[in-house]
Amino acid sequence: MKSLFPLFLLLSLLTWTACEKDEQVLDKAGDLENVTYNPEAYNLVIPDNFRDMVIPADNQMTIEGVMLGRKLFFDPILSDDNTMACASCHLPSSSFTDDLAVSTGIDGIAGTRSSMSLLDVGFQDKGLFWDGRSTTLEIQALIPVEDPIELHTTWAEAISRIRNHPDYPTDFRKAFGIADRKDITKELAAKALAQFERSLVSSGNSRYDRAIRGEIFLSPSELNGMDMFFDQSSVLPDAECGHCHNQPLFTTNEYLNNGLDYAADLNDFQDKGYGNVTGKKSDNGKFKVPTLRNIALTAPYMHDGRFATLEEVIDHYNSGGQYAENRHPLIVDLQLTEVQKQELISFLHTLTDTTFTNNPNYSNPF
Amino acid sequence: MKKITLFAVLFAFVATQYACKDDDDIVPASTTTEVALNFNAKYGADDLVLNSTYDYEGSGVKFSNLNFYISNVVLVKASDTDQTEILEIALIDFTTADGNKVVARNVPTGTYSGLKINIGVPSDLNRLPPTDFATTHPLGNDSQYWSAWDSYIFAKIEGAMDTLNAQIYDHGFLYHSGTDAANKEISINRNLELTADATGVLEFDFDLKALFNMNGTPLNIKDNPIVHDPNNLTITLNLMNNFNNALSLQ
Ligand code: HEC
Ligand code: HEC
Repeated sequence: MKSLFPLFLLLSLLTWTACEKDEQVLDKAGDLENVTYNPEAYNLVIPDNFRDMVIPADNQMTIEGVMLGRKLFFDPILSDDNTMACASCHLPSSSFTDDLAVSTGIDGIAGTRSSMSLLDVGFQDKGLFWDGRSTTLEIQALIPVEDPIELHTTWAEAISRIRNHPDYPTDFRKAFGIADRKDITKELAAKALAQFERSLVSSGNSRYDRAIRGEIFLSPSELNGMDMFFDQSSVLPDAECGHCHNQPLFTTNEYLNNGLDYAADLNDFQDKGYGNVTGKKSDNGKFKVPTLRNIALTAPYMHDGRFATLEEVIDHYNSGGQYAENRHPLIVDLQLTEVQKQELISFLHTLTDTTFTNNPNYSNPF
Repeated sequence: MKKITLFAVLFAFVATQYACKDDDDIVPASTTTEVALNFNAKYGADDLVLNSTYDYEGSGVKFSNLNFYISNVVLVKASDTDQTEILEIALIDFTTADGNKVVARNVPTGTYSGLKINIGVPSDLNRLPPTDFATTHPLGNDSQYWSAWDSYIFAKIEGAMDTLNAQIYDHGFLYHSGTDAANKEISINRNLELTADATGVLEFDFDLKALFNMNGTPLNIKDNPIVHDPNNLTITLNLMNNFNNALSLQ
C-alpha cells in the first residue's frame, strides 16, 4: 500500500497539470452557462405508408441537435488535414453516396466498399454498413473519423478542435445543455450526427409514391416494369425484385447473396461480408439489401461498385447470377426480353425523389 | 418539504394497496401461469439443422430458411365451446437461436383437454401491413410480407438441392405460402394440467419431411422450385394442409 503513494502523488500532479493546461486554452469552468438552453422538438415528417421511426430515448431529435449534426456532417474539421467531411463521400445530390465504385479517404487510399445512400437510414433495424457490423447510428458515426482510409484523425484531435472553435461550443450547449466546453465529447458529436441522419427521410414525392396515392398515372412501360418488379402480372414474367426490395422502403434490410460472385466453397469469397460479422460460413458472401429509392442517382452499384449502370444490374439479375451454395433461390434466369429490361429500368426511375435531394435542410450549411 | 415527503409516501402506499386490489379483481395472480411453446425442427427421425445435408428422394438437400406464423392459439376444456386464447400471434423462426420458442403469459390454470393452433395470419390481421406494427412485433417484419398478395408470408421454406450428387447445390427452391385461404387450423387432443407453481411446457416436433408429401408422393422440388403465386395455390394449400401431420406434441 505504502509503495503506491508515490504513484498517487504523480497522478495527482499530472491531473493538476492537465487542468492547468486546459485552463490556459479554455475559458473558466461553466463557460457556457449564460447561453440559453431551450431545445425545440424536431418535427420528423414521414410519408403515410412508412412505419414510425424508432428513435432512442436518450437521443430524441431537436431542431438544435439536427442543425449541429448537419454542420458536423459537412465540416472537414473531422478529418486530419481539414480536407474531407462525411459529405465528401455522402453527397446530397447523389442521395448521400459518392459517385465512385469504392470510396477514397483523405490519404487517397481506396477502400474496398462503395459508399451507401443515407436516404431513410433511420429506418434500418437490422444493422448498418454492407455487412451489418454496426448496430446504431450513434455507434456508426464514431467510426469514419478514425478510419485510416476515411477521415483518418483521432477523436481526441477532432474534439479539441471543436472545443476551440468559435461556434461549436455554443451549438453543443444549445443542443445538449452542457455547461462547459470541456463537456463536449465524441459521444455527443455522434448523437448530433445521428439526429441529422434520422432527418434524411423520403419526401413521398417520387413518381412511384404519387402514383400509388392516385395523384398521377405511370406510363404503360413504367407500369409493366412495376408489375414485373412485384410479380403482379399473369402475362409478364416475374422479375422477383420485390421480395428483397419490398415497398415502402424498397429493402427488407436483410443480408442475402444475390449471386454476384462464383464460390465453389463458401469460404472462397474474397469479401465475406455478413459472414465476417456473424461468423457463420452460410452467411459468407451475403450483403445488405440496399434501398432502391433514388437508385437512378447512386451509380455505380453493389457493395464494390462493380456495375456502372442500371442496364448492367438488370443484365446481372436476368442471367441468374453466379453459383454459390447460398445464392438466394430467387436469383434465377429471369428470361426478360430487351423491352422488358428497359421497362424494369423505367420503373426504377419512378423511385427518384428530387424533393429529397434538393431539400435545403439537407444541404451544406456553410 | 417534509409534508410533501410524508404525503408522497402515504400516496404511494395507498396506490400500492389499490394496485394489489385491482390485480386481485381481474386476474388473480395465483390462478394464472405461463406456457412455453417450443418447436423442434425434424427431418423425418433426425433433428433438422439448417444448412446441413439431408437426403430428399436420392438428392442432397440443404434448407437455409424456415419459419411460420402461429396464431389464435387456444386451450380447450372438455366441452369444445370452452376455449381460452393464450397467444394471438408469433413467428416461429428456425434461423435464430431462440426463434423456435415462444411463451404465452397470463394463462388461467386448470385442466384442459387439448389445444388449437392456427398456422398463418388470421384475415383481420392479414389486412394490416407490417408498417402498422413496430419492428419488434411478429407482424412488423417487411420481409414476411408479400405486396403482390396483400398478405403476410405465412410460411417460408427455402434451400437448395444437389440433383447430381456432385456437392453442387445449384437448384435453389423457395416455398412461400400466403393469402387468407392458406390459413390452416390444427387441433391436438391432450390432457393438460396447468398449475400456478410451474410453467407449462409444450414441446412440439415439426417434421419438415412430412410437409412435402403431395397426396402420397413427395413433391417434385426440381420441377417446382419456386412457389409463391397467389393465382395457383395448389402446392401452397397442400403444404399448409400437411402441417396437420408435420406438427405433433411430444
Ligand atoms: C471516405 C469516404 C467516407 C467518409 C468520409 C464517410 N463515409 Fe460513411 N460510408 C462510406 C462507405 C464506403 C460506406 C460503406 C462501408 C462498408 O459497408 O464497409 C459507408 C457507410 C455509412 C453508413 C451506413 C449506411 C447503411 O445504410 O448501412 C453510414 C450511416 C455512414 N456511412 C455515415 C457516415 C458519417 C456520419 C460520416 C462522417 C462522420 C461518414 N459516413 C463518412 C464512405 C464514407
Ligand atoms: C434475393 C434478394 C434479391 C433480389 C430478388 C433482388 N435483389 Fe437487388 N440486391 C440484393 C442484394 C443483397 C443487393 C446488394 C448486393 C451486394 O452489393 O453485394 C442488391 C443490390 C441491388 C442494386 C444495387 C443497389 C446499390 O445501391 O448499389 C440494384 C440496383 C438492385 N439490387 C436492383 C434489383 C432489381 C431490379 C431486382 C429484380 C430484377 C433485384 N434487385 C432483385 C438482393 C436482391
